Amino acid sequence: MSVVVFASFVAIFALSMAEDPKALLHSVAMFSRLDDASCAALLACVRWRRSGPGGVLYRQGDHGDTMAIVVSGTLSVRVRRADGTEHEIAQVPAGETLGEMACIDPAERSATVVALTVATICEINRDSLTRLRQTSPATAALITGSVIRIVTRRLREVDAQIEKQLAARVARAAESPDDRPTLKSPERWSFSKIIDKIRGDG
Amino acid sequence: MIVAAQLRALPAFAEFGDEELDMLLAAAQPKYMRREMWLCREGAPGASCFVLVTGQLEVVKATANGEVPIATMRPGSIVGQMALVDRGTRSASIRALEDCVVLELTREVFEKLLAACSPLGLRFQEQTALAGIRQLRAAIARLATVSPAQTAPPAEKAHAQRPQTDDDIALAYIQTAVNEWGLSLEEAGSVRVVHHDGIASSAERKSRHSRLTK
Repeated sequence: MSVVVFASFVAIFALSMAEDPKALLHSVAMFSRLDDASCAALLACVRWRRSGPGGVLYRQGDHGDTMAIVVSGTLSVRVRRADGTEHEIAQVPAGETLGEMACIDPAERSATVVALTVATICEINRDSLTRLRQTSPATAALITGSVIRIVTRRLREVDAQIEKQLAARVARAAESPDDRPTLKSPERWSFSKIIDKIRGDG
Repeated sequence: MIVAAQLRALPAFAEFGDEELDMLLAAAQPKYMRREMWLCREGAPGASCFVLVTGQLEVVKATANGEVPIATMRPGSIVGQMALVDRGTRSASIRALEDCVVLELTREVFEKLLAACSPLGLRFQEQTALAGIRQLRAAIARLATVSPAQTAPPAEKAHAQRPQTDDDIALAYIQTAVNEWGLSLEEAGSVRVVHHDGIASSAERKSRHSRLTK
């Protein structure tokens, strides 16, 4: 594969002759056992994108109706908080997917996705999934089924986190009903800055 | 007796064909529930999902303060699909807020529909995915309301929490010093943290305070 990639460069591209799209699909666990006909149906409705390091693939707040399969490289998932700072919440390596929910239930992107290395992704949007239900029902069922499994796993995780938070809240309330709120800074502080901050707050 | 037209009126099934709805009705088991009856209980094994046809259901979770309602469901909602997918236990209890008609679809039927890749199977699978996605989005929003304000919003994938820096710890100590030990800001400036084992809890701070003031 001889592709010249510039930093912060995101492109929609046709795979070169040297690349076997079927082999690329097969390298992803979800599609490892697709037969030729299903591969052909899937390849007819996906979009390939490639990015250099630093390229922004999706932006938080944009409309999203696309699921992405990371075929090569590593992506960084970043969330902008209410105070305007951006934090990396996850890195997605090759073989994993992101934005699965969007291709079934389009919504605002909840995070910005940036390529950390040269990265290739394969996109499936809502329309192509709808088309796939006609052209290759088994492949559509495979994709929807894996989205359901991912969503179910996360639901269990989020449920467990909610339970943990509620238990911690009950424990805190039992320990001290009038716990003082603690000053917390989003950046690094020096001792004198901390003192100034406390002084400023009176 | 539930008829296809009743299902057709529900948004989730608006695009299903007559034949598909008849097949769904033949494959699913109707349940007629009286007000206050439980459809399923949290923690119990589950092997089916439910489609609410008429009436209203309430989803309830057990907490340290007793059972708390977390959602109400209107006709057309699909629920209980998690146990269908991962063979886990019911994540919440569901009770009827009024008399309800519910369709129960077992895992066997669901898997048979999907294995055949029938249009009905695919459509129902899509609705199941949609139900799960909406439940997940609601759960993420709920997590944000129960989490302390400083913590990061829930990640879609596992991620490391921001480590507690020395400055965070120093900040907590100095604030404790100023608020509770009666030190002046100048005195607090000379405080050096030589050893710490995390930010002190309120109880610890109080006991330190009483030791210092003796």
